[in-house]
Amino acid sequence: MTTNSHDLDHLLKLTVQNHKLEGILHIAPTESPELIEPSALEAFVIGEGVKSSFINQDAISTLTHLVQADPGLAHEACVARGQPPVSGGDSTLQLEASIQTRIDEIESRRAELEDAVSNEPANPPSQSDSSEAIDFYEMSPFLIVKRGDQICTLIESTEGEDGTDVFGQTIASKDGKPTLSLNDASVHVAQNGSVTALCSGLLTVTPSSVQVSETLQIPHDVDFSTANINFPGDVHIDGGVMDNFKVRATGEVLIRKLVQSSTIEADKCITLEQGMAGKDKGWIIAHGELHAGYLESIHASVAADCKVDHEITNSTISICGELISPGASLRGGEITIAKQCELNIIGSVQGVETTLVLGSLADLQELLSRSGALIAKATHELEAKQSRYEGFAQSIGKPTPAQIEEQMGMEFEISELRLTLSKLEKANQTLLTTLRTRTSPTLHVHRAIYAKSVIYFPGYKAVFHRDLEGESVLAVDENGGPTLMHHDKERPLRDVAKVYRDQRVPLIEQHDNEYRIAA
Amino acid sequence: MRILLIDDSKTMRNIQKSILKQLGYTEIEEACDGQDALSKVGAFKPDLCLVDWNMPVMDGLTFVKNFRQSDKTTPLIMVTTEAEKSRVIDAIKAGVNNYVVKPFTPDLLSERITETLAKCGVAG
Repeated sequence: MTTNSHDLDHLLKLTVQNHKLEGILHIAPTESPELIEPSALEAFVIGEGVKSSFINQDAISTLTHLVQADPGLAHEACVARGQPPVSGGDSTLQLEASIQTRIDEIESRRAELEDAVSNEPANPPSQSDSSEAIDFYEMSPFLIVKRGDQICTLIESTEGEDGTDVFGQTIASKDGKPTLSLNDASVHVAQNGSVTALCSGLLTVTPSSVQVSETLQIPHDVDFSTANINFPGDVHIDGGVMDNFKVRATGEVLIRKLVQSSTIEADKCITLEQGMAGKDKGWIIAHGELHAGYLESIHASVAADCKVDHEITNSTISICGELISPGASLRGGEITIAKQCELNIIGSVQGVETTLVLGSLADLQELLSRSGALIAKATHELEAKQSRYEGFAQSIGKPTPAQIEEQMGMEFEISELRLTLSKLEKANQTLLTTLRTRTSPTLHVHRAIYAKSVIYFPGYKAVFHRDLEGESVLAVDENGGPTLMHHDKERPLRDVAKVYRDQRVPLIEQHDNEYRIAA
Repeated sequence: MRILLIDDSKTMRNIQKSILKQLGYTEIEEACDGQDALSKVGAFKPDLCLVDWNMPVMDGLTFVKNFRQSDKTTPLIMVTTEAEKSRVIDAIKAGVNNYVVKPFTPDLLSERITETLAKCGVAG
């Protein structure tokens, strides 16, 4: 037995590989194959320190057969396998299905968008070309979420399970990478891992971060690569805006380069650092202030003040606040302003007809006109009903039950109509007060008002037939009549303009604490 | 408070509804005759009924008599052009709690409603 064991020691050799997870038994060529039997091999392997539970009996048996069959050759086989360690899972983000779908859509359309940019047609496809056509203008590449939207779920990392080598020694496992630090102020991570947007905006998801930005920063032009923009926050565009695109923001809009024939709308301020060349189709809707380098052939509605640095040319603009642009020339078009206006030049030496409407709030005037028409209608109706009632009352002696009810009906209608009329008059008075207090028709011009300029004041219209050069201030006196200060001296406006009575902007007078439109 | 207006004249119902709304009552149902009213009381469960006398299909007096067979307590006010004393007595015998003669003013109707609700112990 001792001899056999000794002989075997010369024939057998155990090596390990793969981090000692595999034990390889080598058998040298032998002339005594009878010594090679499974139990002897197993005893050898255990004697080498291999844990018995890791020994593969089948492998030993197979190896034994191979040696018996061909003892003149060296043989080897993996006869023991340890337990490999299992690494823990890293922390991951599992996107909500709707978000994932949107990302997939954006990815799948990216090629089409790039195609659209590289092959931008001379006449871009209109939205109404075909109901089945792809509307490239609406293929936004931005993933926008609303406040409260669930974005994803944070899956926590897991611990690894240690392994054991063939000798029974522990092989340390690796734990999963620790929890992602989603500490961005724009998202909330609930205890169950649910990640929710704390604000509306642009969603950016990377394998290790989730962020919602309230500002959409576009480093180039708005074109087919961006499509139309409708963003719940601020939009900053380092480039310009190409023809026919729309940019809408619930915050402010800042555009650094040229805006072409497009539509720009913001709930707050709009700043066009260079300006807009609208080709008569461009639109600006500012629910706050508007500041532009220049404006050419555009339409605009501005809810607050407006400032233009250089020129306003052939544009139609309605401004509910002031237009303070001391360096700007206004040439052609029509500007309506509620409060004071300051410009450098109005009109041009070539006599371009240029219209300025001062002290006007178009929406309020429209409401005033409608309330006036309703008051007239209700008054007429009331007079007719009263006359009918009086005639009816005089025509009956002792009234029948039916006549009593008819009379009551008439009284009721008259009383209801009086109530309606009273409400209308109150509303009308509120409109007149608002119009009077929120407008101030004053014009300050530094260099010139050229002939063919037309300036409307409340109750008046001045059509310039001569150039008025130099510093001038046009305002209204206490009676509402237009006045002119030229080079700090009073001068009759009629010297340079024909002045007409005009109701385009109503002249509101105050009588006994009540406002009314002057006849 | 739920109030049922029973009158064949839409104008009269509108007048009464307008007065009731000014008094702060907003749960108002309308019926165009006595039969229509009987079909609505079960579901609407009024706290007060204002009933005209002369109506087609079923007049106000017949409605009152029918209604009182099953409901002895809900206040009923007859609002009518029938001003003769004997008619008033007939109505009261049938079960009305108060009587308003047309034409009436908003103040009078309001006063009668308040008076009736107080007398019947119904919170206005």
